Amino acid sequence: MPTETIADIFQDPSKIGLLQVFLIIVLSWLLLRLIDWFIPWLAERLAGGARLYLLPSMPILKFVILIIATTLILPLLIDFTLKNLITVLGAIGLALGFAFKDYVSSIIAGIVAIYERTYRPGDWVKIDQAYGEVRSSGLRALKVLTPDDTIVTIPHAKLWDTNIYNDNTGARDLLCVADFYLDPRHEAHSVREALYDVALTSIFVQLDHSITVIVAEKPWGTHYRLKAYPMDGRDQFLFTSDLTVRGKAALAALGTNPAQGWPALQSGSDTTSFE
Amino acid sequence: MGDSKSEEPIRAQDELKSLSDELYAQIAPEPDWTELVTALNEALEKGLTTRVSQAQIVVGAPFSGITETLEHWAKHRGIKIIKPPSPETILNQEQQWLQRLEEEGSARPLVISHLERCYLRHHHGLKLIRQLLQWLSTRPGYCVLGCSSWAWAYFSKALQAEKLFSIPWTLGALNQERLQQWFSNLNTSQQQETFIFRQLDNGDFVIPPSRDDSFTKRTTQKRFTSVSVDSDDTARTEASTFLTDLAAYSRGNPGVAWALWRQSLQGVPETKNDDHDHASDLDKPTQNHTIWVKPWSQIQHLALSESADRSTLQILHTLLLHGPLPASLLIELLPLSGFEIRRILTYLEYRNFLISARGQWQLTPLGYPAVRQALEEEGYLLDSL
Repeated sequence: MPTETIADIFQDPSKIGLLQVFLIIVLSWLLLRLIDWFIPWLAERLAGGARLYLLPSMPILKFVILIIATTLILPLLIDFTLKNLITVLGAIGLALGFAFKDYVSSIIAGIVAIYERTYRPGDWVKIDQAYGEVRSSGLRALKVLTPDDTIVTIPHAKLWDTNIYNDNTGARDLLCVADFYLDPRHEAHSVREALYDVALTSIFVQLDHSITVIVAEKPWGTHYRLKAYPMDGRDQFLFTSDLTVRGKAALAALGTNPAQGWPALQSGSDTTSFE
Repeated sequence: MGDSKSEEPIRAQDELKSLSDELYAQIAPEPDWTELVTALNEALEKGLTTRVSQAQIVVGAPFSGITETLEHWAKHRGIKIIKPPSPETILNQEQQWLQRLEEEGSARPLVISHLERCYLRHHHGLKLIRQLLQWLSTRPGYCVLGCSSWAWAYFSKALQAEKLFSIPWTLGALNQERLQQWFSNLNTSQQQETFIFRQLDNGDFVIPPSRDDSFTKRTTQKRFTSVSVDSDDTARTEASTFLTDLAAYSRGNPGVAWALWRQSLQGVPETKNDDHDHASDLDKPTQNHTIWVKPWSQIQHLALSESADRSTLQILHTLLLHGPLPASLLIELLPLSGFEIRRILTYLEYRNFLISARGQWQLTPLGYPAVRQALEEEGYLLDSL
């Protein structure tokens, strides 16, 4: 490409408003920081329901700011003609193809995630080995807070080749399961009723959803799965603990015994064999 | 009209003082729920003739007086009131209480005024209420069941109880007009004393004075001539919006509205009697008083702080679902330690959200609106009233 053509793409250096460009960049950066601080701050102070609508707006707002800033800066730097536009886009495409392929892939995946609502802040997701609450969804990556209080940063590009498990998909509540393994010699009807009442009387339970008790007979004993929804997904571990503690008390009152022996110890890997 | 008012408050706050206990007892005594018995009697008599179900549920919010009214009605009609079972009976799933109830006879009318005390939100606490509701819905005799609106919301969600009975009844909410009428009639003085209720900051009448009373007529006239006179020299009453705000904030709940009403009343010490009205009437047998009502904006509402944590809300919700409970039972019902529960109870008592009487903890009417709002914001099961 002749050197004079490249020079023609850009504005006359004497006409470029560097101060304007600088101000736009600074203002955009400040707005992005403000969004990072203000929306989570506001979400914590609003009722639980509003939080789930507010937090997902963060990446959208940030993306809009980025687009506006780019749209404002480019005409200041480039002399916009069709020919120049094609040249610039070609150059950008070449650069991205080599240097920023993964970065751009993550950005595009992030936009797709916003559009498809694959995950939003407040959702409980499992991506590869990481399970936790989506705390923020940036342009390149999302941050997931695990129950062990560890932040895991996962690039959006995972969307292309990884299964993403979302427990609540924007809703406030999510399904929790408490497992019970019993010696098969018991009256199953009473146990099922007792476990149902355990969930029905939990202070955490969301009564708008149904409660189910699933029973399966295994070689080592009887497997009960108590399924219910807590009012708030953030209470899922407390809720499961509450179901387990009170479930054990209810089962003890019924005179049941836990499943015994080695097969019962192996049952942990068998819990997902039925839903 | 409003423009002609002075910018200065009619009464300075430091001129005023809280009312004496005697005066409270005179102008805002404990509500007498027996007056509602007539209305309830008429409603239930109609229900008797047109009923589909033999059992009628009467649901009331906390502090609404529905239980007291129902018990007065039962006594008035000579219907037996069934006492609720003890918490131990419920948790041990004993059958004797229900058996004794069944032995009362299927055809005899009965009243259970506290249905919310026949269950506990515990995995052993639902068996008895299930059996009771089933039995009540099928027995041929007439029965009236009083239930807290919070417990009824739980029964409806958890036990589908609304499908067993006809649509529950409840008392109508008190709007501004009904509050005005009620507060006017609360005055227990025997005509020797007349009370005028005016708003502290602008002198507007919170309860419009009775037209046939000489004191109120003179007070009204004075107020109109000095403050608000229409162009055609016709005096026009300026009503305060206090009672409208009160009705909205209390959701028409009489107990809550009454507690706030008492809190808002202020009086002038006798030596500084207002407007010299009293002085001019000293030679007369009738004594007259102006009671000053704080503007709505100056009422100190209890508010649960933003940091009201999960445990606090769980305790408050449990107390609403069951009514008064001892701390020992809260420990049974909640996944919290005894120490934590007692710490929170003490803190809430200090903040005036709870009171403890005879070992039973219960919400205060002044704290109820804030608690309800906090529970609503966090997605807890709410009553419909």
